Amino acid sequence: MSAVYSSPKIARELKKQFGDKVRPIKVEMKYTKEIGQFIAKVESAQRKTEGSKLCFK
Amino acid sequence: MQNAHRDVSPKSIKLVSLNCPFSSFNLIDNEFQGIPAIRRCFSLARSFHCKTLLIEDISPAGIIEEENVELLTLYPQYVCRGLKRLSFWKSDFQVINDLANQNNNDFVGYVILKRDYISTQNKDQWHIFEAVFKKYEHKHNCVPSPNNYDVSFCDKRFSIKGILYCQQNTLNKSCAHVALRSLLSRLIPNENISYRMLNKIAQQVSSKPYHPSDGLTVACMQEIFKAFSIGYADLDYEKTSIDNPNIRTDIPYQKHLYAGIESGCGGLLGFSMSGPMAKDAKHIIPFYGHTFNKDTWAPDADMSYFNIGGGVGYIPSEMWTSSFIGHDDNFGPNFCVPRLYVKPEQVQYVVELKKSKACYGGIIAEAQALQFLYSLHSKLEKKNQWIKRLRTHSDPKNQTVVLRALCIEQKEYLTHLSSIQCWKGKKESSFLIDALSGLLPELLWVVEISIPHLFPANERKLGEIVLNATLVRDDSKEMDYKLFLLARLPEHYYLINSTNQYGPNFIKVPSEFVSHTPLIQTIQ
Repeated sequence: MSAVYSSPKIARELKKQFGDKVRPIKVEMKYTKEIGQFIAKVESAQRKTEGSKLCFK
Repeated sequence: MQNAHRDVSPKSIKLVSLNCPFSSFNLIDNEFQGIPAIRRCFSLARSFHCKTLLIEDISPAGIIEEENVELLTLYPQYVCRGLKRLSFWKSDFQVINDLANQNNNDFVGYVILKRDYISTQNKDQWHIFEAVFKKYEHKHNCVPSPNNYDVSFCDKRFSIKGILYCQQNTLNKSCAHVALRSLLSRLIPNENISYRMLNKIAQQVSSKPYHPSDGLTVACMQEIFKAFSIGYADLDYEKTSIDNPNIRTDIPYQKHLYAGIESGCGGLLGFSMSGPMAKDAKHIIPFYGHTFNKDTWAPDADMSYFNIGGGVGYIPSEMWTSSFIGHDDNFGPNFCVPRLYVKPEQVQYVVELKKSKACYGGIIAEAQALQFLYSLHSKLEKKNQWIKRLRTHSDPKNQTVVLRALCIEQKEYLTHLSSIQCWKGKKESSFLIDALSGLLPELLWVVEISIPHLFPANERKLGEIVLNATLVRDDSKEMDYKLFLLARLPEHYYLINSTNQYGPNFIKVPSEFVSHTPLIQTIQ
């Protein structure tokens, strides 16, 4: 099932509007590992906060 | 009923001239126990050159009456010994009938002071139930999305824009309660959040018998956010540092705070106190604004670079922030706290508040955007001088792009696109904006892309990467390309046409913007 809002959906609509002005480009995704690891680190730290015992008064 | 405590008619009134020889120090020492937070309110009034103080004795109403009922339940000997509403005016007027001639421009701020008395606990103390002061009129002070508060004096209603300040009384509300009320009152403007309401929610998740004077645990605060449908991204540095001793440098607390502030939701900072009297005290304070100083030196130095790991980094826009603006319930409202003042080792907890439908925070949005930008780098054509400059700054050898993440509604983004023009005077085509209007979700992360000198002094950018804020990131994948909606750079929009096992395939669509454009304005 395609997402309600997605880049391919926008691409399809704009291709209809812009016709041959639209150009495909080949992009090699870079830093997938490095950025993926950073995001995983943030998400893991936020998940661990769920059982926090800190109290502020 | 919602605004009852702000609208209640006075029992008695007194007008005081703030002109020489009036001394606020004497007044506060003689009548209000020398409370430092009250002194701060008078200092703010002095900064605005206020000339008149109106003091009204009022009766408990609305959420103050509700608080008194709660206090009586907790402390059967409780007595509310005094309740005063103070308002500060730039205009000079001697008789109360002249209040009718004053307007919102003359009105600078108000304070509701409450005196709690419990004979059996030897407690007899004034505190600030709430106060709102206008933002300090310095162009470097930025407060996104302040709230409007209506308040009546002698039955004439006035309105003030600001962020609610509240003080704890150590009886039914702690620093955590008042910090939450400050920020929630901005996010849920139509509901007057009472402490009884907060305590009722907190009680449901308390692991031990709950007493509000013990403060709020992280679990209680999280439950309160959920109860009011407020999004949050939080981090317990004390707990996570057990597995990752570098967590405080890997994910600096400032990044969470700034992301919440810039999106108009705010953030909370929990830290241990320093100094000989501090012991094990843990304090939490709300932040809702920041300073922006285009002449800040740091962005030109190595320390401004945020390395996310593996030699990948960028310059976050927060580098031009010298101070966060927030309240400290011990000392008063609207303080500038230097961004680097609270040492990382003191920080135990940070919360980035998010719009209710945002499924992830600003740190993740910036990281996702960075990958798209650096991947597109080699495909940027060199004919346009601004694209050429962006290529230089996004080159793997340099990585000196400036990123600024904002969580905004789709209509705000489209209004921005349709209202701006590039430096060459061109506007975006209306049919492209119309086409986008049905294709974007209601909430977006817009990560603005700029370069040094274009960003701070000119407050302009080279484009933005737009992500779907309402989609839960698939954490089974290193990168979730479904979050990406579009990238806009000079001359082109970049879109994912399809995705296969090797990654996404892009197309580019022409844009009328050929040069740099203004940043999104969220600041009042």
